[in-house]
Amino acid sequence: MLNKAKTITSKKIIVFTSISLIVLFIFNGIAQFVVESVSRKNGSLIEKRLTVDDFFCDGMKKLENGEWQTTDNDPKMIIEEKQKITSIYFYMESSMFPGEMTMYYTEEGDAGFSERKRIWAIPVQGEKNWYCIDMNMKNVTSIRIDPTMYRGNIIKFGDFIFNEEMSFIGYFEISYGTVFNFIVYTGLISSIIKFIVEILTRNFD
Amino acid sequence: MLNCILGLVAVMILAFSIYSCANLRPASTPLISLSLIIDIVIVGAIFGALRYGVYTAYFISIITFSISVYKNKNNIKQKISGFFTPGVTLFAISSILMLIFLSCKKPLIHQWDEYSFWGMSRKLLKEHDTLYTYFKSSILGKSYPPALPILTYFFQWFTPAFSEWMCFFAYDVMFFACFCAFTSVFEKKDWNSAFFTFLIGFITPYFFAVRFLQGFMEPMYISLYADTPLAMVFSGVIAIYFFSDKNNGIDIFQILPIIMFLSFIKDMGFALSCIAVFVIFVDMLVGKKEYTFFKLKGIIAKFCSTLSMLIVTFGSFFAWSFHMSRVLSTDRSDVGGSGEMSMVGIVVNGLKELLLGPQTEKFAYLERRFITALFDVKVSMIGRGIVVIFMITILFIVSFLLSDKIGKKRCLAMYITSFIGFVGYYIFHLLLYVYVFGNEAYSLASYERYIYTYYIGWMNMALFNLYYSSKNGKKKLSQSAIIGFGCCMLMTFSYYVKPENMFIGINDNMYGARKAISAKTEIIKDKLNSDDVVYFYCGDDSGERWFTYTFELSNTYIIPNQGLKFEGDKEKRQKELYDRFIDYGVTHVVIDTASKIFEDDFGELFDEPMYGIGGNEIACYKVDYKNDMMKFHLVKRGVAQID
Repeated sequence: MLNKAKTITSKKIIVFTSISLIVLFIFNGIAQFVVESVSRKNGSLIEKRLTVDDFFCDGMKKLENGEWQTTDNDPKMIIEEKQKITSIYFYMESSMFPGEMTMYYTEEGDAGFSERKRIWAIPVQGEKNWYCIDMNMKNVTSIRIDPTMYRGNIIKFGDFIFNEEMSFIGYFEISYGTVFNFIVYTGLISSIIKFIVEILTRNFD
Repeated sequence: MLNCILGLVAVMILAFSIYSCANLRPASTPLISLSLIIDIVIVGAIFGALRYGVYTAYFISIITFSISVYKNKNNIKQKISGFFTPGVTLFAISSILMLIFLSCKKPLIHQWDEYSFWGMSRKLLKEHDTLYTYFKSSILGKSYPPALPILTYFFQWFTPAFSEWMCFFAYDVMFFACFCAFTSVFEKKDWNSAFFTFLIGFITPYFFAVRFLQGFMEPMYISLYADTPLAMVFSGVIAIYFFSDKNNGIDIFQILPIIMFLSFIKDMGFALSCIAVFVIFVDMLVGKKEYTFFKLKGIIAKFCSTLSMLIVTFGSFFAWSFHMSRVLSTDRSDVGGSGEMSMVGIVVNGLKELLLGPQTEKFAYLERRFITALFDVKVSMIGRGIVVIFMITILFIVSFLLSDKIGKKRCLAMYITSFIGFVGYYIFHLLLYVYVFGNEAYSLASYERYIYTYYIGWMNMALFNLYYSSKNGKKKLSQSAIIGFGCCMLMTFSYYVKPENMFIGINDNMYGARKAISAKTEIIKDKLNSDDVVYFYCGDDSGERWFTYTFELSNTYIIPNQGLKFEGDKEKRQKELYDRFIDYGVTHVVIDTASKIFEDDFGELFDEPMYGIGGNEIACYKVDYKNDMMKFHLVKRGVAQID
């Protein structure tokens, strides 16, 4: 085995690592697709469309033209939703930069919302004013969305889409973050493997 | 994009020339090359010959490359292969990937002081092809040295118009050149250590800039502030010297262009250059026994080397002072101080007050506050200043234990000198807060950002000793320490920073306000020219909208609003505004957002009411002075079409 280890070159390590990460990415996508498909088939994951009127809004007031204006620096939109959630997509146009857009959730047994169960809404790349909250199949009992951190922000809401069904290809979407992670983890894992190989082959120069 | 590629190629070919002609460590050369290029352009700019500086830089790059290719024509493949060490390869790959990313996403500047100076100066430089000191503008901090504006200018030299994303790219090339320098000691077979070194360098700015879990983007690598560049270039100077094993004057000559570049970044760059010189001098005394400087040996050689560094540091300082006195009619030692004291006076009187007293109430309070801040202000992902200092000390101790005999001496010397440097740096900032900052000093405004510059450099110095010991001391243990530290940093980084918190999470939603102001500016732009003097009113604005307009209308002088108190009755307020207008020779008034208070006080001066101006609407008025009064006549009013 030691002789075999000595034949492992740096090139082989890097190629092996990159291929492994690609395979892992594909496997992860397939696994997510399968889990969500099964959940949708057995009814535990349901797609739902809501509007802002379905929420209880605090720190916000509705204007005559249907838009909303925040009246303090901590506006909240709260709804009781006892279901499994994989994602929430929503449309929001605001008169000023909203700052942090946060979602809090509670699960069975939780007394209330807390910072330990908090996810930030991130803009959807390529779709202006659309935001996504990635819930990763959590079983929640209620959610609270803080759409902005500023008073006086005038907001026009669109739909809130819970558990939107994704196409098969959607599970393999390659974002800039994916590319960044791929490069960093290839380098990282390859470097560690090379170090281990050198230890095993006692290659102390 | 092609412009940036040409700039990058110039840096690379000059780096190759330096490597092949001077036989330096390849990974040191990108930073040396970049610094040399920018230094040449700075010299040209100071003497009003900015364009000729760029021509000269390109000419030198091409000529030296041609000469080095000719001299090595028989073994050019070998030379190129030798040049592309892991660090240089990572530098090239990082730069190209960043170029592709930035050219696709085209991020904009969006931080406050980027509008007031850091972005504005780059724009003015590009638009006028001359230093911002040569003409009147709304820029703040006109006395700031020009290294970073010129860096961004060089990378968009061939473009017809100013580009913000190219400025970010220029900065990123500088950062990657610094990370590359950190890997100087590693050869091709050490690619894994080089990778971790580069990764640690990349993560480090986030380590100090992101201190809490946050839902918004931290604009590292797409920011034009100078704090991180100061830290990285300061670290680059130390790295290149520290890993150089020539044991002669070349150890010093190779860092002189970088010292000059550092001194021209900001006034604090001059202070960091002095600290670097001190650290290097002591290291030469303990770590370089057979050192020679030309024909000189021993301590004389080391003194002369140190003198050469001091000549460059102080020479850069005085060169910019000379330029300021000639062009701005300002003495640099007077700039940056409070109303009553020059910069030199601040240092002298400040030290006197600190050591001998008596202390003013503000001084005593801030002195106590600066000490307690080490224990109660979070400055990094791992916690407060004292925790960072503890971590750095541990890194030095580990490096010390793993080093060889010479390495141990150098490690100990560097710890002591860098500690002294920190104390000096910290005290200097205390004096700035006491004498220069106003009421914001009491809340230690921007404290974390100013202090983390040194923490970054200090942490890097500790790591350089570890990298050195991985080649000269207990190699495998040192390598495992590098990997272990790198993994710990990456885990901490991954907890605090998600992709949406990094530059890769840029999206158009961030620029809503900026794009709206840009669209509104287009409406009135044709009514204003470079001779006009404008008063801008932006309603109940914190100042950010005002600064954004000064950036958008960089060719027009917008008068400052500071000092306008608007006290007393309507007549007094109108008189105050009139006096201000007369002082500055205001020709136009622009209303971005009207307010009731402004309308009540000044509405009668407008021939067309400004009621309703705000949102996407803007109006521009011409000022007419008659009989000690002024009237504002509408020139243009419109609503911007904003996507």
